[in-house]
Amino acid sequence: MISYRIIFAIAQKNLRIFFREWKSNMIVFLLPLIFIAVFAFAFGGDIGAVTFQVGLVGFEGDQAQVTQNILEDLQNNQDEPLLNIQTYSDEESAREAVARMDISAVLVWEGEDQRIRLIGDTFGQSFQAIRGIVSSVAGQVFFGEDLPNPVVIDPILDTERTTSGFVYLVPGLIVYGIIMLIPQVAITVAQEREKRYVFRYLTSQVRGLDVILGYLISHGLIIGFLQTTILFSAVHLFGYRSVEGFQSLIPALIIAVPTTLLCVGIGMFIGGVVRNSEESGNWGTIITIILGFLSGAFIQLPSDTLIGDWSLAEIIPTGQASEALRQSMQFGSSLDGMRFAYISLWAIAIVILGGFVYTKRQLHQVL
Amino acid sequence: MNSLLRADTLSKTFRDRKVVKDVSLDIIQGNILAFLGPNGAGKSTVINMLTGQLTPSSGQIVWQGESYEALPERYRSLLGIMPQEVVLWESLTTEENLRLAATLHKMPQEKISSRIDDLIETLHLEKERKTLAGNLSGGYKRRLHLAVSIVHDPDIIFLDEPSPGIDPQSRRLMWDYIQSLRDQGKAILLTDHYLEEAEALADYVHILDDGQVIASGTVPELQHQFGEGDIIVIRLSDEATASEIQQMLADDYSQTQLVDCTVTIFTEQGGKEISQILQQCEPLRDKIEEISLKHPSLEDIFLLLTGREVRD
Repeated sequence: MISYRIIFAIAQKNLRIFFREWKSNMIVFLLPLIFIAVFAFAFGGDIGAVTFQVGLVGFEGDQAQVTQNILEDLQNNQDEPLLNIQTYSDEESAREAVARMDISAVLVWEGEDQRIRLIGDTFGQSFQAIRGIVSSVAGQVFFGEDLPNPVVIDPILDTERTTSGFVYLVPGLIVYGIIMLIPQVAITVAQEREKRYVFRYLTSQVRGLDVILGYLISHGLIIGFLQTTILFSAVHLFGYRSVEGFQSLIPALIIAVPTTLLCVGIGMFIGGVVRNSEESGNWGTIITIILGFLSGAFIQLPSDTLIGDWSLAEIIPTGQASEALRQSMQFGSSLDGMRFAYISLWAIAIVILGGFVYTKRQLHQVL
Repeated sequence: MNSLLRADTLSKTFRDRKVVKDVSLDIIQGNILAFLGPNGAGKSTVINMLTGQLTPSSGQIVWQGESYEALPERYRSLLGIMPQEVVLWESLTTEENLRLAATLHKMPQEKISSRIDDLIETLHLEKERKTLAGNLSGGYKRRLHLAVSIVHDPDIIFLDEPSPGIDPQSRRLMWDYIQSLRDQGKAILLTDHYLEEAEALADYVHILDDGQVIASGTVPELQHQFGEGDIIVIRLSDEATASEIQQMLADDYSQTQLVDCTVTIFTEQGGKEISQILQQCEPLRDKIEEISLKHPSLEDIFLLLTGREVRD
């Protein structure tokens, strides 16, 4: 039978050790922040724009009260950044303006459906700012009305820009921060045997499962802290803005839970099979780098399918996590249940495997 | 005398090599049992079997009258094990180490604080209560190591060299505390290379060599049985003379040892025999640098029984 007191005592011990040995553990926080800083300066070109260029189609001709209200609100928008509005006679010419980057987005009024279609490069920072403003305006105008979705997105994807966009990279870097836990867990686990702390488990009432659950709790909290730090830094230091603000971060936090379990499981597996903490560190780092790239943390991966319809990023669970975070933070999508289930299944399998290896190879006689 | 834990003809074989051979011993309430032996004698293997970390190849573990092939896990928390190497969470304070160890043994929450206060006071750890274990000096570390090992108030305590490399004050404090544990009715098994410590603390001694018990008894019993009363130590100016003297005395004294320039003779009544020995050595008198008479210590008996050959 597992003991909650023991599990929480182990988790508390892990947290105390993690933060007291901050000099060696801060790399888990620093590396993702350094990457964010580098990518923000390298690829965050459109950050800081104060006026966004917007095209309108179909608003002028529609005399309906609601259309006029939207138009009025958009023109009188006092929020920063301000919109600079241009009117286009047809959608095609507006789209061409977007392609020429004369404007960042086009708002097409679809009178029949009573909604705004927002066209643009959804990966662009400017587009996201415009989307935020438009959503806000539409929310006010259509307040109380039973409409399915007053703003629909019609993306024009510019793949060249998306691969290098800072906005695109932030969710991936959060996943990379979680992946960075792998060597940290692996080293801690190996050190527990090296410093013979395992002896205290073996000669007491502790079971292998208590240790594993203790690790999951402590490192889950570390990840929560890490995610908050990365997001806070990205927003306040480097100007990152998620599409729906705080609301879009909730799915991101949820998706981080199984991803954390997965990484703790991998760390326990490595810590279980290696001979010492040095080996743990080496293998943990190698796997972190490989997994970081395969998860699309730094670059967008090719979408070529590998198995069935699945691409490499879709097969790798941390790749799915990056994509899930990107969908919620960048496009404001709600949590994809299938994606969550896929990551969770991987996480459970890896935690069981890591726990089994750790118990068999590390939790045995040490006298 | 109440036997809490008994090893009944325990043996352990690793890859066709029998490292422990039919070892039997009793760990008795209110008693300190010293378990001595050179490196590789099989002490750790016996302790691992007694503490349930190894399953014996044959023999039984008897816990308060109940026989088991291996010690069941449920008894773990009735044992307190202090290994030779200090095992402390270096980034936790003295108090945190104790609290964590008590929790891992599922000690009732309401008892933990008073137990910690008691141990901190008795082992003079107050000054370092909030100090990280990694920053403690050697003596404090050893005392905390002992405290962490017994924080859950076990009935049986295994101590593996409790006080190596610490100052005499700390050692005496530890010895006094170990004796007080015995007086409280704890059963203690002490493994030691530091034989002065075993001699000072042990009520009963087992000497183990090559996996088997070669001598058992109280220290006076062993002194009587193997030391025949006294030891005469003759230090010579050179090894050749020492060897000559040993051969000269071999006919009269069956138990002699030669190490470098020193001859050790075990006798029944050293006071009477020393003058006879001096007479026998008269031709080589000039080469005798020192001659002394003493009662054999546990170390002398240990060396007599296990030899002076260096073990790995």
